[in-house]
Amino acid sequence: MSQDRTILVCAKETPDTYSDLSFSASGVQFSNPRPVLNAYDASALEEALVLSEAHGFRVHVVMVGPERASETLRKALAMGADEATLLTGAPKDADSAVIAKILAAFVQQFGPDAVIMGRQSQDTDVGLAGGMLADHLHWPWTTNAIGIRFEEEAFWVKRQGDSAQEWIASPMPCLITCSNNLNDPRIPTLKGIMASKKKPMHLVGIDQLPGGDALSTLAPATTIESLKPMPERAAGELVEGDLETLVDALMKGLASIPETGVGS
Amino acid sequence: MRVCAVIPCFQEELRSSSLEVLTKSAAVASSSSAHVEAWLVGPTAEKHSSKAAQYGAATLRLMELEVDSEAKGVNVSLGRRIVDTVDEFMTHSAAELDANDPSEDSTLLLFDNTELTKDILGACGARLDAPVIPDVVDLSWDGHHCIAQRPTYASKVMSEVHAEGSVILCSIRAGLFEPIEKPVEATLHRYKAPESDLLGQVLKELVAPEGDTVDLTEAPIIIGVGRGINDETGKDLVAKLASLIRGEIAISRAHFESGMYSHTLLVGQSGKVVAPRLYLALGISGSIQHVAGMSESHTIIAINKDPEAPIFDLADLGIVGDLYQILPALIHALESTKA
Repeated sequence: MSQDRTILVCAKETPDTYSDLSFSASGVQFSNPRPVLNAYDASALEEALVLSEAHGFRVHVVMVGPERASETLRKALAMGADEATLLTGAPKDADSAVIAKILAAFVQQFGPDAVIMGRQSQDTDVGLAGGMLADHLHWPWTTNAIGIRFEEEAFWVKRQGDSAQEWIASPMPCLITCSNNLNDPRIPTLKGIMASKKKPMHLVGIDQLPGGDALSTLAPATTIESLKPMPERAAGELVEGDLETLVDALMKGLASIPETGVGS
Repeated sequence: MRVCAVIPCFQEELRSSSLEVLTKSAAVASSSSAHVEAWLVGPTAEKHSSKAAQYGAATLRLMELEVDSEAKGVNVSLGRRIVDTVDEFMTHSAAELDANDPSEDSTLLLFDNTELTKDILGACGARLDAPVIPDVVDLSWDGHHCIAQRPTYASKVMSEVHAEGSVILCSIRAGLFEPIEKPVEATLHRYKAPESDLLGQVLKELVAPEGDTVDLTEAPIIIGVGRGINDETGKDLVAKLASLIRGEIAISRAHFESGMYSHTLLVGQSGKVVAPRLYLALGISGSIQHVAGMSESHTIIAINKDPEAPIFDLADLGIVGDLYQILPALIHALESTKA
């Protein structure tokens, strides 16, 4: 067993994007005002916990966010993580590049054997932080994991590619980003919630990290200027009726698309 | 000023997503009076160079790499080396541009939005210390500022993202830009492959289950299969329909769990994002997560027995009825027109 080894899960809190959304002068609002643990990061944490149960890794969760985000981190502890760190003091409009630089400083100081994180966040769907962090660390990385094994002192990742799946083995330390199709993250039990209150949660200002002065003043190179409703698709025709009517409508619809080869 | 289309080259034919990237590069360049380059990386770089010139790239930079033939399009063989190549091309060509005209020293790099690119785009941005805007559906660029539109919040919100810098990277969503030929005389630069450092990674196995040979982002006709198809009879009907209308099959999350289809076929926020000419949704209710993967389709036709199904809100044509009655009748009608 490798009790001294650690998997670091990098997590983010996001709005509950699956609740109802409305637009206002200040941007978008969700009917559930409480932020949630990004679904992809929850899958990453679940997988880290499974690996921990089988191979004895310690699981540490790190998040860049305001002090309020400690509530979301506490949920990660309730799921079963051993310890958590909240990195505070990042610019409010930090983009992936800024977050990756902050995380790189933390990882270099902390020295985990693997970093596992979501492949993207469920709000902006950007999906850049993992690759950026790996390049800063000069670590091997694998994205879009739909399966992870620990074998022969390496992390074996089943990656979903464009038209096939790849089993890729990486030596430690390495970085993995997860699909949310990897697993169903566990719901914290009451016992887990009670235990989480006694687990260590560290609040660290980013100015205390190596190179911290520079980190606190990083300016994001990308900014979100506006959020607008998606252009509505023109309302289509809804056809009900007997089988002949339905098939007739379908044949006409298919024939209007040359690539189908129908009616040509 | 230059717009560079970064093209991974590992297949016999250049992918249509690559032609779209070239077309968009030429369009952005012409509105900003910039030069168009194609950066061709991979085992078939040489082979695709004339095609790149045909689509408007006046400068071709070629990095012909040997990669393991078993694993042509994968991260450990090609992806990692695209990051190194982009870095190398920037270093080399920046010196070139400086010598000619320092005012030309700004670069927009355009990528496709395949899984191969998603794997490496962040690393490319970090390596060049340049801003990255992924998965855009439209963009403009004036040499130092890029303004891009990208769907966010599970495709419910269009974000306008601004980036500033002398080097900016963007990936563009496939299926939205019609490839347009624009033949030019091109100059060719060949580069020597750098030492590759795979950082100890090893490809252990390539798993290509049956039906996994399709690259959905390239398909003009996609048949999305949802919960409404729930047995082998239904699966056979779908397969028959697919062959009659030249469609490729995709699945919603319901079939990710059913085990009836390969996981590679998943379309949605957590699967492939597609924008085909036609998306034919069969028994798909239209969950937010699925819609995020197909709402940019040019035409959507949906068949569902529930008239209240959310998919009908975005379908150009909605058919309310039982798939197990409609599909046999539709197949019969299609066969009689072909006979």
